[in-house]
Amino acid sequence: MKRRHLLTSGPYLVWMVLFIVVPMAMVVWFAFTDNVTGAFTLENIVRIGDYSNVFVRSIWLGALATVVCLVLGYPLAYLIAKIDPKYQNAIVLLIMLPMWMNFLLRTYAWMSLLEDNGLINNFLALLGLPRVHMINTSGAVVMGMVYNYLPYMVLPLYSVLVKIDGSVIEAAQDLGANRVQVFRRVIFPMSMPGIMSGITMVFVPSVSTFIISKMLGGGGNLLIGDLIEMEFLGNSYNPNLGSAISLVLMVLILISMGIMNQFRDEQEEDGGGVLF
Amino acid sequence: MSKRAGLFPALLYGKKGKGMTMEKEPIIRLEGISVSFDGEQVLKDFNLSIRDGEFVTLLGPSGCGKTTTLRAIAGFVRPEKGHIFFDGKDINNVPPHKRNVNTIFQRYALFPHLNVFDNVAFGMRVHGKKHVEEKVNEMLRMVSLSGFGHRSVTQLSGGQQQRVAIARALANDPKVLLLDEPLGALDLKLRKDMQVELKKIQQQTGITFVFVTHDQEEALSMSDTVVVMDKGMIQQIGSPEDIYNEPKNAFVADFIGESNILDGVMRQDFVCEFGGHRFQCLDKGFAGNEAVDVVIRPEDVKMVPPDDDHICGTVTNVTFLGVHFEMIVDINGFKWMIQSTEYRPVGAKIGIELTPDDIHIMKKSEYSGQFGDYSTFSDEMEEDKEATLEEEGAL
Amino acid sequence: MNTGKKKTGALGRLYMALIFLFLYAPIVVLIVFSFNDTKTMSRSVWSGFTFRWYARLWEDSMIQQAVWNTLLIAVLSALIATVFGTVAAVGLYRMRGWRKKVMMNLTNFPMVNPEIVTGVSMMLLFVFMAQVFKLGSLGLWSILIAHVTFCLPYVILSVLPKLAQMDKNLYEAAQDLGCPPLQAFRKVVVPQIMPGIVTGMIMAFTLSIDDFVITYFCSGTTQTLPIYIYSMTKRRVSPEINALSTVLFVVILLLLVLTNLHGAKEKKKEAPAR
Repeated sequence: MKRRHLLTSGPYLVWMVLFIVVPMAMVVWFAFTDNVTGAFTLENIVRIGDYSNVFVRSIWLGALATVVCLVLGYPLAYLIAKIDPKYQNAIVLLIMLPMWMNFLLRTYAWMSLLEDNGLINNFLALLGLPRVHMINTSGAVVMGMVYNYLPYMVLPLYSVLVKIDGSVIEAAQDLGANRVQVFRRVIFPMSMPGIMSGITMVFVPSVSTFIISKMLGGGGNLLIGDLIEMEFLGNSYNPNLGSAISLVLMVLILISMGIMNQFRDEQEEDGGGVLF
Repeated sequence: MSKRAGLFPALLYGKKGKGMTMEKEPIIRLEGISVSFDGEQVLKDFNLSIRDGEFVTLLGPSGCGKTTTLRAIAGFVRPEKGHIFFDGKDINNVPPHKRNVNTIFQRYALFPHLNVFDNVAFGMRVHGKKHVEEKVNEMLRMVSLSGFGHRSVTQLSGGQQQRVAIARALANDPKVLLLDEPLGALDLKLRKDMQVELKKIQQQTGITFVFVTHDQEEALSMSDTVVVMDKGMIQQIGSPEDIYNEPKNAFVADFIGESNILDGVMRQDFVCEFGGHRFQCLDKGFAGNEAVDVVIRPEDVKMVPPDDDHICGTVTNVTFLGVHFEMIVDINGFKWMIQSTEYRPVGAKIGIELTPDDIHIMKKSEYSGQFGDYSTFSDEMEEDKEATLEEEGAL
Repeated sequence: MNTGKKKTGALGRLYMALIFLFLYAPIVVLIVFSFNDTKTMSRSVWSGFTFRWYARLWEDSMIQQAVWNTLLIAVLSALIATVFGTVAAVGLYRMRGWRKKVMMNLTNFPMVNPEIVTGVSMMLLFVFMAQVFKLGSLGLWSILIAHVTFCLPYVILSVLPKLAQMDKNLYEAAQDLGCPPLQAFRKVVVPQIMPGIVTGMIMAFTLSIDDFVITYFCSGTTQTLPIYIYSMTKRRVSPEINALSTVLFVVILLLLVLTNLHGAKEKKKEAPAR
């Protein structure tokens, strides 16, 4: 029995160690070594302090996009879960369809909409309204994040909401809860796991994106992702500093996911594959 | 007649106080209720009165409308026609959360995100009541779950979940408790225990129980009044003894217990002819030579040596069931079921003796002839049917 | 959440309509302007109908190379990840205790780790490998390894539940009837978990086709379609990209319609068997 484990999952373990663990170890190694001499140093980590404004901006914009997604997505998921089940699959498919287009194209589409002489502004001008400067603002970046990641919020919410047993809602009504109370005391808390995975699924890619900010945010809205890209492939080539930033980003994400999982674990304790 | 009461011990204490409640105003009255789903009539002009403090069971096969009746009382189903009165007031337009009735749902419908305590406290908190903790603990004590307050409901066994559901409903001080096949998901042993416990709780609290089941034994052993339903209509209302001993038609006779239902003719008052013989019976008031259904319970048949004075047949199958033998006897091609403590081998010729007390005459109904040979209601078939119904209902 | 048979109210409908407008308006604009005969050098002024951009797309040898690379990598990485992942899932399924926990965390890690971090970490390794093994620059080989790596967890996580659903006695029953273990696995287990394997493979394929971030760091100078699209977006005006979007959208739509029709048929076939 034991041998069979090795036979089937051994190669997988080797692969994952080689291409996941070793690269991560290299990131750590680079983060703590000097660019030129290769000696151990904390300088890279210290230098991240210079970019604290970028970190703050990334987290702020990511959080904003996540909140907007939640506010927009919850009612949508709730509405879908309540319509005739015959049509639910079709509507869910329609929500997912844009995701099947490469996100570069989706973001590019917004470029042509948000430009100073883009479609929205032309439309406003047509109505005799003043033009609004939208492209290359942080608002445009948040917009791009919301557009790209909204389905990631709606789908987990929908799948949790649709699974709520109708008899549980009836039980709440039966015990005297009115519509608001049913929502506040039953539906909302029961959808908590969906909210948590929705938040994670939107926040993680938002906070670490580097394309959306580049395409919609212009040069003034640098995010952590852009910073990392610049250190590895851009003008300010410095993989050691880039590794340090990556490391901090990763730790940041893992901590926030750990917090999210704390919420989720209270309800579903399967102990299965949840990280940490 | 009284000899059968012993079969259902719960009946004895179920009878207590009946005389007292008899004159009371009904707490729930259904008047001419009609309900249909997708064009299919589930309840047809349904009338029922339930007295305060009564234990009423709605009994019938799935699809008979018993659960719909319950849901109409709870407020989850709006009748198209008719009125529901609660304590004399029309509650047709009162939403479920404002009705003073509570439901034990089929699969309990406990809130998975709340622990045992919070589940039980739900109703009180929603109503903004005080002394939540004391009341919840009292309720948990009543269902023997003291100390379980902080457990997650998903970690409880089926029986424990059931108790939480009961405590949760009762914590709301309902006037009427509606129970929708609450014991269906439990295994046999647990079911028996819960039957006794539910009956005890009902007597302690004096709350009116409206209990829905398709298990006739459950119905007979727990109820003050049994309402036998089929096809959205009441087939018979009565005490468990009445239902068992005096079934009104072939459906009731078949559904309650095991029975041999035969075609017969009433020759005159107190004389009935079936199986080629004339028998004395206790029934009267039929037209001359009126065709009727005759019910003979398997345990009432006495076996005698075969001769011309008796109906005779051949034993074709014998099963030992512990207390008695169950024999299938072929009488002129019609299979009778006979239960007896005496053994007869397969192939034995026997005669059958019936006293007037053993023969029950019913008017012909739409159910006549549907239950050929000896008939027993099969739970297994019932469950299959239910499973498909549930699948449809889930959509 | 099937509560009563209430219809969605007017407000709800309006809300859903607005959301769909938000989701689809950009795509519609993209498609419409792929037929725009731009002279004014603007992305958003309509100046006549043309197929010019499609023609140019057709002639663009860079795009053809990129499409070829993308498909090659997607097919190879989906196949490798599916076979590799299915075998690994069987091993994982039988594991217990801390070993399983370690393996599951290892499987989940690339799914929760920010893509960009995965990308740069792999880049570091590949650059190192290229130097040590004299592999020249990064290219198809590094993209392929990277894609197999990030596809593996998805295959495993779609096969594992199917294994868990499977009746444990099936495998034993096959052996009991005289089937040697490997054959029992192939004849009994594989058909049972086939839906999971297929789902995993489709996911791997689409993820590979669509991936930009990780590929960006592991591709060297090799072009895949997303990489090429990225370079196009950097040019000021390039209606070719609209044409490309339209073609891709239509292809995706067709694929989805086909798979759904197929799925519906399968369901119909299964229905009477109940």
